[in-house]
Amino acid sequence: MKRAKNQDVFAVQAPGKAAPEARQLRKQAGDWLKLRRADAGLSQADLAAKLGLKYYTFVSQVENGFSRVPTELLGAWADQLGLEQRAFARHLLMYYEPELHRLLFGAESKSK
Amino acid sequence: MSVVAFERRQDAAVWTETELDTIVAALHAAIAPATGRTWETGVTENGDVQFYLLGPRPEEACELCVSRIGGRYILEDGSGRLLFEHRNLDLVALHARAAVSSRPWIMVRAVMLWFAIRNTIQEKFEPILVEGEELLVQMAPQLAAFA
Repeated sequence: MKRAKNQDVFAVQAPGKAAPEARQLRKQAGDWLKLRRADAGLSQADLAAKLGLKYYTFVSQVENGFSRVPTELLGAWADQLGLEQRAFARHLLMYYEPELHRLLFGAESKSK
Repeated sequence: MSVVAFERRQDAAVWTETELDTIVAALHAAIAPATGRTWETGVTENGDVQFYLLGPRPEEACELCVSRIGGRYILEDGSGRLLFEHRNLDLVALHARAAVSSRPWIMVRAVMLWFAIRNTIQEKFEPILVEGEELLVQMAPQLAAFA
């Protein structure tokens, strides 16, 4: 593993390494969350403070596509972004558990 | 003439080679090829650097994250739980290693093995010792009579 390859400015993957679908979907979820946060006029630090997190680094972790919004934070995260909790959870499920989402709700567009 | 070697100012948006060496060295066992783990770096929107330890495929989910904010290192797990924070990266790296280390399981196994051995000793040897003790109690008056 070469350091130069891994130390990309915006969490870009090492060249020649195909991103697994789960990871790509998490990244898409992160991008969507970033847009919704921008719509709410919040910075990562603002959102973290409203969620009661000591540091805003976890918000970045999620938005960069490396982690998911934990189930116990889904409601609060939705509230802080001014979104309806159920719709928020349902939309994220499309990225985090696409097969489960398909079984529960059928095919749905991700561009909401 | 002597030249004072001033420390180069840290660029917030990039890990220094020394910092990465420290983290990668501490997680050396955790990121061995056989584990399937990898690592990557990224930045927050404020330009603070992050190091992600990623689990094996297909999920490649973040298991640990080390971030540097204003000279302070923050260690979190993949669910955002704050595990440790300090200005000394060596200490943070040690905690990161402990968080992914398999040593606690070895300890648990060692303790279980110890209890199993102790149990066996108690079951097998205690009756023999008790028997000997009883024999001694019975023989003691006779021995005393001879004395």
